[in-house]
Amino acid sequence: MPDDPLTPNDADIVRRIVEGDVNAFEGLLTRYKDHVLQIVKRHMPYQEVEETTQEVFIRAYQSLPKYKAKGGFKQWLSAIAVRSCYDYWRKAYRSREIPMSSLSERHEEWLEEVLSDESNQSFYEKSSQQETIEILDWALGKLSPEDRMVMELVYLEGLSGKEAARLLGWSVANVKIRSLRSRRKLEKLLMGHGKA
Amino acid sequence: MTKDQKKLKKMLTAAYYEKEKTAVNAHWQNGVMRHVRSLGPLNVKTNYLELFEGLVWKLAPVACLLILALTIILTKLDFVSEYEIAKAFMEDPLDFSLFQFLQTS
Repeated sequence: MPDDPLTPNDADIVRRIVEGDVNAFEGLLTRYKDHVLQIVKRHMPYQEVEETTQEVFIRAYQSLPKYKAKGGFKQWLSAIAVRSCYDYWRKAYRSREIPMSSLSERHEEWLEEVLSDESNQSFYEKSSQQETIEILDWALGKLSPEDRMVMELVYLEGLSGKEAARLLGWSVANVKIRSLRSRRKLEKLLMGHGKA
Repeated sequence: MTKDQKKLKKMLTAAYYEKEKTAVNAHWQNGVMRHVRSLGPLNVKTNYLELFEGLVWKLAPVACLLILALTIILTKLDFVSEYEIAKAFMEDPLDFSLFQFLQTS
């Protein structure tokens, strides 16, 4: 929420939109586009980012009459963004658009090299390279959509079980169990290859 | 967590956040607004079913208290169940009559 008293706060903008001022939505879009893009970029394949971000804002617009300023607009919008990404992966899983192949020899060698590297500097350089992103995408593709979302939110982003549960709209127990199970599965997938 | 597990987590986390750096078309925002305008103003009709759903949960504790209070009242009253009438009849069917029963109770 902005500190400047002249800048309308989120609740004011929402009220205007609900009263019929469609153009007021641009205020929310401009304010939160970077935040939503950041979430979507982390969870989605590059080619799906724009479309999913659009979908997030359209869903938010259509759900505005149900919005209650309880936890703040940003939190509410974040939950819509995370759930839209989850919906994408559920559909992709059903239509089997996820990669089912095994890790390539090049990736296996890369993983082994990175994990055995003792130098911190080269470790971080290697971690940010395309090969590592491909390995991560491959490993996440081996998980169910539910485990994938929990893995990304809890293991990779470091959110608590409660925060992840609120974003996904699930119970905390469900998130915690999935988190433990999927972490083991991911480590088994990658450590097995790295040690080979 | 072992040293290898920590290293793997660091590597994957770094790769995960690297995905944030990808650029998107600067004009996608216009597309969203075009779509929103095409949808028109929001329909904010009162949904009575939703209002009722909210009310049901709010009234649930009151209903529970009411059930509890009625149960206590019924047990405190000199209430004879149909089962007990049948039992009295079965034990002594010849002498039993509803009139007698009402007299004794």
